[in-house]
Amino acid sequence: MSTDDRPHLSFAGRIAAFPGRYLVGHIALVLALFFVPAVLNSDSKLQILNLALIYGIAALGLNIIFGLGGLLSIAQGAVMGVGGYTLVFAMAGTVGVVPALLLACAGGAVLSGLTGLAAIRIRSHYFILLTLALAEAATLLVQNNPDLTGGSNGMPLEGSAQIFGWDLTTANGLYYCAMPALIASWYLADCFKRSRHGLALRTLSADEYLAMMAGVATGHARFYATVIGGAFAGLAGGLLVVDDAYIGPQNFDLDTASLLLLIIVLGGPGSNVGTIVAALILSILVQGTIMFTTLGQLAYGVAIIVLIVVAPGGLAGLARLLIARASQRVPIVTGRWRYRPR
Amino acid sequence: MSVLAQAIVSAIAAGAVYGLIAIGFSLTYRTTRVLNFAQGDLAVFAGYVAYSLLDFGLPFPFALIGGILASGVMAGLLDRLVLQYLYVRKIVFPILSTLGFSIVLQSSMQLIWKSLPLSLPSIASQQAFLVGDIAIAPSAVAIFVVGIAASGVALWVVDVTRIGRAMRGCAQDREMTSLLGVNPRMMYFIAIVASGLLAGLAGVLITPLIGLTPFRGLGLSVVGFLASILGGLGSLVGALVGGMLVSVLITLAGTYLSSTYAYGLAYLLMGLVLVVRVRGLFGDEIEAVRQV
Repeated sequence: MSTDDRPHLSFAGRIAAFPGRYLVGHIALVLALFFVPAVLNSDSKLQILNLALIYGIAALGLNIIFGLGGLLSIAQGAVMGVGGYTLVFAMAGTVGVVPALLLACAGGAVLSGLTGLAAIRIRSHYFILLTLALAEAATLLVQNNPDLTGGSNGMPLEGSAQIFGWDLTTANGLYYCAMPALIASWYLADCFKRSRHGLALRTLSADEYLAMMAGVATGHARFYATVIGGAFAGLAGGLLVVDDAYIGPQNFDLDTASLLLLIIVLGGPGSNVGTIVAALILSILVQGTIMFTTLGQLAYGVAIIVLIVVAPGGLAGLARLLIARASQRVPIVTGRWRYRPR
Repeated sequence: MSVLAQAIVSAIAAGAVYGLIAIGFSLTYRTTRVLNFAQGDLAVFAGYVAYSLLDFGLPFPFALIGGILASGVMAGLLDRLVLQYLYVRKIVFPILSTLGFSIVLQSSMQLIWKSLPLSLPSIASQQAFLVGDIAIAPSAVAIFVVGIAASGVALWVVDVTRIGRAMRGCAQDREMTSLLGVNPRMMYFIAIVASGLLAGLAGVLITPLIGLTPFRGLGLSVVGFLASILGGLGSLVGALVGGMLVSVLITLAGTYLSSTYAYGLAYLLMGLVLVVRVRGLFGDEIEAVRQV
């Protein structure tokens, strides 16, 4: 980490300090990304890319909860689902697509905030089991209320997903919605990570008692983390529904949750860039072949295990290792498969 | 009244099996601090192996024992190939890796035995006899007896024997116990293999009741989680009692309220226990406070 000149800024303060160090880089990035659909020139490829962007947004949210806060949430798939259903209900009630997406954010934040309320009191193993129960209960509710949610079969998205005649249901249209959403999420996630709230969260996941001694309100910090992370997931869930023009419980089950967790592990817990790169790689792989065949599932499970065992810091750890090696600053390799984190 | 009694009686046999899964789960947790998401899949795996051995022509009891051993071996592989490298890391990583292992196991079973439901013959006759006006199947009695006996053996090993004492020591203070000449890694290995064997036994016992499909595992794991949380995570007696309670609760809710929300009620109860009384029925307060 580079040294930070203003570590005291709050999350809101960080956001208000826009553009900070980002200006030139962001403008260049946005310009470059604007031309991606023209370069790809294929709807099917663009659709896969869109999915990757959407999972990237959800994974950025989970990165705040799990990567920074150390809270292993298995409910992130269900949180996405709540976002999706909120969007569907809102749009059936003739709300426009943009307010509906905001409502989806809020819905996700509420469900995830519920786990956060519990996380004030319980954590580690108990939190994991609680989120598992919540995810299973949400699936149960959806499947057993077919009149409301379409049950296991799901239901189509009603209402027109258009902003001033700009159609979000086409691959091209969605790209120009999902890409800015991802960049905004990335910016917000980075602001959060580098704000004093993010610092507090990282401290408490590293050492709870140390954080308490330093004056961190640990319960609050965890709660905020789950709310913000949940809002990201809600947005992603809403976008996913717009993308498919359909909603069904199978898009938001434990497989989704474990895909998101795998993205974090591959990217390196706590690293936003790593998370986005991992989301791109994994979503493209998964959408390509993996999840649809049993053999692919097997490979996927093996990949989870191998990644966890062999690459503790994920892609971000690997990158840090290579940079440190190149600049010869730290003696890094200690023992088998490990590097000493700075 | 007789409906109530009938429901409870039929729930208790399944409860003993859930208790076995929960005991394995609690044993792994209290020794290694890992939540084993593959516990239910190990149970299903044992059922499949027993099915294949039976198909191969082995006598029924040997086929069952083979299945149980197979899931013990699989649990051993989990420890040797995966978990032993992860005990030094943050606890979420080994837990995440068991989730991966569960996916591996599930898809392997799907590849080998396909997705069509299979079944095993029951260990005793399913022809029910009447006590008063309650029908009791000998198979349910047998499942109950075997389940309780196996739980008793597990409890005895952990509470009385030297190995059990060493295991409990590892759970409380790993460094101290290793200074006293115990190899903690060995204890972890034993705990996980023992949990695998318990899961295997649960699997071959419950297969005649619920059938075999590769996707049953997660459901069984979740029931095991529910049971061990209810009884107090880490308490073996609690796990057994919790298994009974969960089974009775699900059956009663299915009989009197609605069959679709029976599990929902169980999740609700688990959430309540977690928020209101983390240590459950029999959990150790200090233990719970240290972890929570």
